[in-house]
Amino acid sequence: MRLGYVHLRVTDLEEARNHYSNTLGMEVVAEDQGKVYLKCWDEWDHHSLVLEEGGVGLVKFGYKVESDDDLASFEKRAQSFGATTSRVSAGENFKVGEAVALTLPSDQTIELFTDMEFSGTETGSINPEAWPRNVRGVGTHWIDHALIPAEEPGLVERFMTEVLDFRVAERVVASMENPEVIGSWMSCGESPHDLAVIKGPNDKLHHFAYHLEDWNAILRAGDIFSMDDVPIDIGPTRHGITRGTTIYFFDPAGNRNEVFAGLGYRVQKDFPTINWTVDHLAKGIFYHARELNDAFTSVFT
Amino acid sequence: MLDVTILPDGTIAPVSHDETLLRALGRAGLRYRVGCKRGGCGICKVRLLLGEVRYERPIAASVLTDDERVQGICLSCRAVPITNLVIELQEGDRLRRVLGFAYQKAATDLMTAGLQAAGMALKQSTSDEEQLKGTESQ
Repeated sequence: MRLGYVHLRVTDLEEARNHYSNTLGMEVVAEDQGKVYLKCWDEWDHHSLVLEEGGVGLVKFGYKVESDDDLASFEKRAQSFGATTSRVSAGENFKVGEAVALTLPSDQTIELFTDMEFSGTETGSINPEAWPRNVRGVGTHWIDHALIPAEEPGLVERFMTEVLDFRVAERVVASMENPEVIGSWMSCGESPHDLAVIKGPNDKLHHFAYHLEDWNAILRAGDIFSMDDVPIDIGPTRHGITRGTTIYFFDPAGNRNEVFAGLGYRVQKDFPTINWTVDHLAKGIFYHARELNDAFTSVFT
Repeated sequence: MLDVTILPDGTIAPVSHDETLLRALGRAGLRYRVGCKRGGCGICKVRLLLGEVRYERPIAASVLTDDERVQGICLSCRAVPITNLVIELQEGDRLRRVLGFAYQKAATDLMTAGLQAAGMALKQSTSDEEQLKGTESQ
């Protein structure tokens, strides 16, 4: 399983198109019924971002699973957990096959699908160059992960691990004696997080993140944000949790984005979960400042 | 150029017809509680006590409700002034001078003038209350 797409609401479609296309460097691959579809140069499926005008915040995440059997099995396990599920017919999501929609215990919607039209990476799969020469702006590689708030992060962690086979790479607990989950960074592959959850309001988005090559690319992204008057929330800096280097910033509708670099480690099957106690949360989130800014715990869309 | 008086301390900052309150206050070296700066989160709400603003972009109803609009709550990162304004920061928030060295003298002068202007404005605002409610434009 992997994060396939993010479907987002924006207040102004043209401003959002400019941000995601010219500042971040995604390619607009299609427009259909008022929605704009984009992909990064290093992604091979038809799109990874859907923009829809009207409001702000998350519509849903799409996760790509391997087979129809997986789809049916995850659907059944979600129902046993007590989650609401429904089937979405092929084509109802543009260029996407049949899907199973699940409502998380924190009310966000995720849709599992097996099939999306293949379009290939910009550099192709035969004797590729290292990167495309015509990439614009930041030149994001791919949408990497997302963070959602939840009133009960521990319940969402249980859902993701018991129903969807995610593994917990890192976790923030009240204390080692009182392991109430304040936040959880969960992996469905080998990267330190594919979905993270932190205590906050249900049915909201904290951010979704793009992978960049390295720390130099993070610095260069920050330069481009200044040139394009993109509000930076924090960074460039490093996360203690995941060890990633980062900038948090906002799109023109106020949705938080991140550029993220550095595969801190691999979450192999026997990876021992790292625990942080809440008194060290600030260092875990922002390893250098060692304090949370107001926005981190209050700005959700 | 218009001006905005910020309560409770009465500081006055200049603001032009084509910039947001947030940008004007930032330019004047003043800082208060803000979030995404793009109308998405609602963290930078202030109370509009006097004057009229327009919004440079549509504001999602999930960010600023109709009730809040009626109460004069205004989203400072997207609000552009039409007239001189008197605003009040949210409870628990305060204005910080991050460019104190650059604006020190001006800030003191402004503060004195600001207190007077705010006093006048508040007297006036009682009689203008009905008009104010009707004039917040989108």
